[in-house]
Amino acid sequence: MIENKPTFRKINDEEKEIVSFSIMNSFYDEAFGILRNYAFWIKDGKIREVFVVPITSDKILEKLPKTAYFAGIPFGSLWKSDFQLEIEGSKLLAPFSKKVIHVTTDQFLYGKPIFVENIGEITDEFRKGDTLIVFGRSNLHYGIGQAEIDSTEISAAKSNTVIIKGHKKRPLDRGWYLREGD
Amino acid sequence: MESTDNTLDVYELGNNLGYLNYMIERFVEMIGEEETVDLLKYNEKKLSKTIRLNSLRSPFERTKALLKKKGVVLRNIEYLPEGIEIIESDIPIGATPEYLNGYYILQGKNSMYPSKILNPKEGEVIGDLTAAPGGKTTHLAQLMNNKGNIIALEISANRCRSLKSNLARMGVINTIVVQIDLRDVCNLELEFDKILLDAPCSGSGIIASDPTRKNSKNLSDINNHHNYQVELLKKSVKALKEKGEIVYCTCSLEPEENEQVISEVIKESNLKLVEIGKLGEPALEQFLDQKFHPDLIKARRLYPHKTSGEGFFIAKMVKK
Repeated sequence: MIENKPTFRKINDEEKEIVSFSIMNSFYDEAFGILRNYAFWIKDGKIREVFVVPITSDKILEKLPKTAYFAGIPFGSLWKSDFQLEIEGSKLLAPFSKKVIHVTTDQFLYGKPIFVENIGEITDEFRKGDTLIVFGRSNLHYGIGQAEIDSTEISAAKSNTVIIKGHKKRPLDRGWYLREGD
Repeated sequence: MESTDNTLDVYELGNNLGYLNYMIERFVEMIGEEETVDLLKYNEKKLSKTIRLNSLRSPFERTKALLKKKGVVLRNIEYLPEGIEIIESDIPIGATPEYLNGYYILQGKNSMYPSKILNPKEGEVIGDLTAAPGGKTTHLAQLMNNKGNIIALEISANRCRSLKSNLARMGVINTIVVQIDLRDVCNLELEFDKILLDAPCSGSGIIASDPTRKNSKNLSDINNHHNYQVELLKKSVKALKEKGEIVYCTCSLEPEENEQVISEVIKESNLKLVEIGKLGEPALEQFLDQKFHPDLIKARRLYPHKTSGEGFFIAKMVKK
């Protein structure tokens, strides 16, 4: 057995509150309905990784706190008191998202920004700092990002104004899977 | 076989293609000279690219339609509704938004069979004991409709990372990846309904995709693999429930890594070989001076030149 590895543990109340608050801000209440089928687990380490695990796997995972490397869905990560929803968390909750943006380019999948000229459709108004779920052509899920401007500014903005920054080193767009090397 | 203007002697052909001589001798012993020539020629061909469609993410027909729309020419694979051969594609098939959404995975045709032969059911506890990079694990999850539990073992942190990446991308939710040596599986104190053991092997069935295998391994390497495989299979059987089922497979054609492993373990364990259909051809009854367990004809060998895919050996056993 390998010792001194990050351990898997159940989420504590404080962490759960941070995660729930973040979800509440960006998703409709129904998101909590789907999450009732899962238990929240934390993998401690430099970053605390948040996993949602089907409740049917809970008992088995409880037996493997030292050896589990991964379980269920990699939902997001906790950085001090901030929660960052990541690719698969955003995919799971996408149907309940308050803010969705459709883009006409694949550039976001390469960790690059989304510009005003790349926007296909916006379902709702958004404000700077809002969490946006990004979809591409054929309604394919591309990832998640944070708005850099208000949606009301778009019509007057230059075509190369950034709407969402790219993050090559963080698992926010689905191109991450290629960059990570699968 | 004698050399003619058009036909090289099989040993000369093997030598010209860079094989170690012992490999040709063994292929001839297994399948005869004529077929060995077919095998060597097949190994020089570029394997056709195949993908497995992932019903956990998208209905098969939708994925096919999306790929066709991009100009990808597809062909269905007989008896494998989830398997598709890529006939022609101007786009990188391993980097499309559909791929990144887990609508499909690049997977060799014959490597889709072991998971199907294991036949995992919703609600069962399945052990995938050599899981990375996750082609077969994600297939198991698909066959289980993401219900039940898969315990996927992998010792290497790097390989755990690629496994994690594939599981997440493919929308698998019923899997726990455990970073341990397979030989410690019993320490987990879990009892598995079914186990897939895709044993690490010398890889002589996948020379078409890894030509270095023509001259990178000697008989002693094969014997080392044999010893390791026997150990892994014995440990795996211990972790299996009574009446549980185990599929043992390798992508090697060497009898020491296949029939001989099963023969050796089966006489010491409460295992019974079971039929797995008519795929490929029956396993060997003997090789050189070695006779194998008579039930081994229930196991199957998939030769590359006869199945147009990777070479595989697959055996299924039940714990009595």
